[in-house]
Amino acid sequence: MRIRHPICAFALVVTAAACGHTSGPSLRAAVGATSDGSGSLPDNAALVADSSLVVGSQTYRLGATAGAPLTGSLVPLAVPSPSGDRYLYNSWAQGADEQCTGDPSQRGNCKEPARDAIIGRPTLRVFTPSSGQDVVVEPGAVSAAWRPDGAVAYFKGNATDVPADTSRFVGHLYVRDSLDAAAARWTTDAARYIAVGWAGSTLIAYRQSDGERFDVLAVSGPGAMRTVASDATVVAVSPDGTKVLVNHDRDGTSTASVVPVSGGAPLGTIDLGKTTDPQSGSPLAWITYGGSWDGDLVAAESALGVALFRVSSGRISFDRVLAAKGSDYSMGIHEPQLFRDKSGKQRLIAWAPVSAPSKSGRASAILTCDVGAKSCARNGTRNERSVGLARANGHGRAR
Amino acid sequence: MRMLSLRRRVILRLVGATLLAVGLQSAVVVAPAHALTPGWFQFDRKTNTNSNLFWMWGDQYDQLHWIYYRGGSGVSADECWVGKGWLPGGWYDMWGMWDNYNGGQIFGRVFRLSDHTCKNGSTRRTALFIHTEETPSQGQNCGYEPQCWDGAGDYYSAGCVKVSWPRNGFPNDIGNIHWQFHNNGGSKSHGSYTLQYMLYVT
Repeated sequence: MRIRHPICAFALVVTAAACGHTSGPSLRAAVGATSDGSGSLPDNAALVADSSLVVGSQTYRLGATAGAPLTGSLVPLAVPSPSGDRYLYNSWAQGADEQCTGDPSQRGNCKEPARDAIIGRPTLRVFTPSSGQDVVVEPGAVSAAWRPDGAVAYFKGNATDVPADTSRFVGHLYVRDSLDAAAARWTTDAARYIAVGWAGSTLIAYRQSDGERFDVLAVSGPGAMRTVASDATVVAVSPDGTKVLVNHDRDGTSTASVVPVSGGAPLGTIDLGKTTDPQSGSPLAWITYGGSWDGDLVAAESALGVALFRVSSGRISFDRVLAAKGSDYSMGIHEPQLFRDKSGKQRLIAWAPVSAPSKSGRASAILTCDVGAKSCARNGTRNERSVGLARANGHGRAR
Repeated sequence: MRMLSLRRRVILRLVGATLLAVGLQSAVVVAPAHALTPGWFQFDRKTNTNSNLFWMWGDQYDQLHWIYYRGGSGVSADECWVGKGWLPGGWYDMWGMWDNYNGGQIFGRVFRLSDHTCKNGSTRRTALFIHTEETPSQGQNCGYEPQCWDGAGDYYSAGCVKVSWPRNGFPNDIGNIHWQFHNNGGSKSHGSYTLQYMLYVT
């Protein structure tokens, strides 16, 4: 693996990297961003919003509209390559959808598509900021994980298009040794899988079941699949790829466990229903997917906002609430990603819906925090349908 | 027949209570242009654990009646949040009804709802049901949380609508809803099938 800048080495396992982007088809203004100059991000942070990729202070136009209707922020909307010079992203071409005539509250006026109608086509694409090149990697594919050695994993449906009954969109997890290599199928039974990330040479994935619930899987090769946790989601994978923090919801609260990727009993567990934030006096109640792990620090979205945890020798303890939801971010603060800026300072980026959704999208605030200073600020606002952070999901070394 | 008559009186009494609660007397059914079942659900989102799930039906005089139950959905009011937000607003079809469902995490009496795009026009909420926490044989297995109605916390869900099972002082709402659907304007069929406009979420 070749690393062009020292800072990128860290960014590989922490967050999106913006390394060496000195040329390319950048836009003069951030598309969809507010006009208060808030379109840019801190160094080494990146996000995707519809057809824009924002990397630090640069904004690029993607070749297709990003979107992952089937996964939301369960997994990254975009994933940087190990060297940070390319981005795999999920795109979506909309097909049939609900059609309304007259008063939409009137029975008979809003028609859902038939179960087998095509509601869209997902496509995995790769964008190169330095050249502006944007090419299709795999039609019918959703969710990608880019390993530090260059291998890429993704889910691909048995059919390219998604029917309105998405439970029928089944397929397999595939792995390519490199983006240009042939794909090898790693699963034996067709299902709705989602590639979450790499933990060393083990692929962490979901298998979706009824009720938008998930089993966490460890897939170590073709046909070699093991269930890590049932009815659970992945908060984060450790930087060395040996552990995964999984979360299990129960009755409005959750329990999170540090689980060895190689198998075995949890190393540490925390009951969020019994964990109280001393500042607010309220329980964290739950945490959820889309967090990050840097050193011994884990950032996760909780019922109170972005919570930080310390993990030492597998044991996990609550540290503090870094960014409280309050009334400004009542709908949650999603995908809290720890990263280092160019000076090495530990920072965090996340986004939060701040308006009710409409057909044209919704307003989403971009939050950035100085972890050491325990301070957060609203970096700007996006106004698109699909907003998500570009986050690296290859952890540890492939063996 | 007597049972039916008694049950109808119970229904009427409950409808009366509902009318008081919502401040309405009755409404004229506006017949849609499609062949639809006389009955349908309405879910009025208030909080994640305490919303109202109505069963509504029209009679031969074109009068609309309803009965309602406590229902819960999601752990957040963001309908565009996969696996966390409550059920998105709008009309849903029903894609089947099972008495002894044995899914990965959902069991027993279940009403499968159509997938639905949330209001941002992008995020698709999928694999949604109206259900409770019970075994495939409609009983309780309290060694396994998804098959045991513990209390009010069970109204939380990943997005589905959940109603109570008669345990720990909670009413037999799943049983009543099941009866209403089969005997009062829904369908007597089981398994996978499509009924249009079977749930409206406000």
